[in-house]
Amino acid sequence: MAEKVREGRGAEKRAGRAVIDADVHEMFRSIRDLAPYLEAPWRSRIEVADGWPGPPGLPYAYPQISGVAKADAVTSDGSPAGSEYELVREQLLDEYGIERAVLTGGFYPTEMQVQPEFATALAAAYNDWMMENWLECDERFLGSVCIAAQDPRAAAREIDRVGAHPRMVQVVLPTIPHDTLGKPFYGEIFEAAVRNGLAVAFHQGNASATAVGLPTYYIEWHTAVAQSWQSQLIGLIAHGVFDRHPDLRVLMIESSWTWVPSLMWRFDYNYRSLRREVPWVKRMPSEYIRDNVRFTTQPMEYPDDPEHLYRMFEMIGSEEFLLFSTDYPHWDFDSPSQVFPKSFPKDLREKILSSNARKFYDL
Amino acid sequence: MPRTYHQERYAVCREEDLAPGEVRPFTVGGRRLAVLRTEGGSYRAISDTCPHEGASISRGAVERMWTSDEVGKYCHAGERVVAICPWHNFEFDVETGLTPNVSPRLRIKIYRAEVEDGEVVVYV
Ligand code: FES
Repeated sequence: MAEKVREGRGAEKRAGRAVIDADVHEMFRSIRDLAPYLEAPWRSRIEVADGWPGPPGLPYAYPQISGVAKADAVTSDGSPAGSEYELVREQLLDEYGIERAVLTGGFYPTEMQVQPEFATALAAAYNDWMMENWLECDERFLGSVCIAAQDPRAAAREIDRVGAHPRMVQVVLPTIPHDTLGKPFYGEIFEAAVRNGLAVAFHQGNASATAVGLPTYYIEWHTAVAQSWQSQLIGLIAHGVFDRHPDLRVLMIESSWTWVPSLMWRFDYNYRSLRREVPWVKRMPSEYIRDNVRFTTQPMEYPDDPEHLYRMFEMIGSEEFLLFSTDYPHWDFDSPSQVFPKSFPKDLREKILSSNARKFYDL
Repeated sequence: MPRTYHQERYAVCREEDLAPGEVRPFTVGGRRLAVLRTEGGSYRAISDTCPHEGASISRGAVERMWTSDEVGKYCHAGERVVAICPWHNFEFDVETGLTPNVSPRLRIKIYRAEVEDGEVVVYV
């Protein structure tokens, strides 16, 4: 096993393949890492003994051998995987010759349903912490703006505050279960993203749920949670977000993607029948998806017949639709050299590995 | 525009037989047509067979097309009128035969309809 890893070291770079990774999770060791970036009254809320312990995690006990982490990414001192830059550099950036890695965090104050001012302050502190401790460490890192969407005006101010950083590429939102973020209530967030030349990305958070909420077992949640992106994507279109912002770029991260063709068919069919309910939506839903929305590769499906996977890709009707991602340091990490079945043509793999992301993020 | 040559003329009813917004079926020249009167008072004829799954369009509804420039607001799209199928509610613009904003995979056939001497006349 160790031999195999060494064999792969820098293989992508040696092979002349550029790789842009659209989903890398930088983590803090504990919520207290944010204390220096908070002003009163918020700083003391996490600094005092028995203060705020941080947001709740996913309620499941992970059955994987190293919890949510890939087993070789765990840190020596027990702090969360993804919290040590040197390990990220060694295991991901250098190992695979990653040209750019988009940091997507793992701390999403949009999920907090209480104390919105505290959530807003935490989002700003997180951005300052992330820029200082990650973006400044390595030029290969690109950043995502953390916000608390429950106060859209404050969130837009935060996007304006940090969005001008030359390596901030998007705003990241969790797929919350209690609201659709395409509603006009959240409109200032999308306006601010477009104003700052940023994409808007959706990633699951610890509050993300399935159509039945939290099913009994983690395997059920993990299989069904794509529903949370589906609901958010449908909401963006039904609430006319792309009609208001035709240039808005949206990325669905870690949602899986093979469900997209059937969602496009169903949504287009319903549009023929039910357009009268949402006449502010001016185009077929599938057209917005093809033109404005991209998806990341991980977690890649693994059908018995790899040809089937390529056919699903073809059904979407756009070669720009997928951006490669590893999801480092998590257990369901995908390797850039191993993830594509042979059914994906070589030039398409190259597009997915780097040029689609380069175009999407205008790198 | 529908072609006007090689067409037969059929008078289907008196103009007052159709109320504004009403649609009724007629069989002429071996074809089933849905003939309608818009709320604006003009007459249109389209196929009575929905190109989707074959429902009878004349069992559906006719209305001025809805549009909007703002979420939650509804207004009419000028004088555009749509026929709405009774089954799956697909809309068909009675001028073009197309579903609004949708790629032209399904198009309902349209026919020329006129009022001549108080009669509604279709050319098939
Ligand atoms: S049969 Fe007319 S819409 Fe389906």
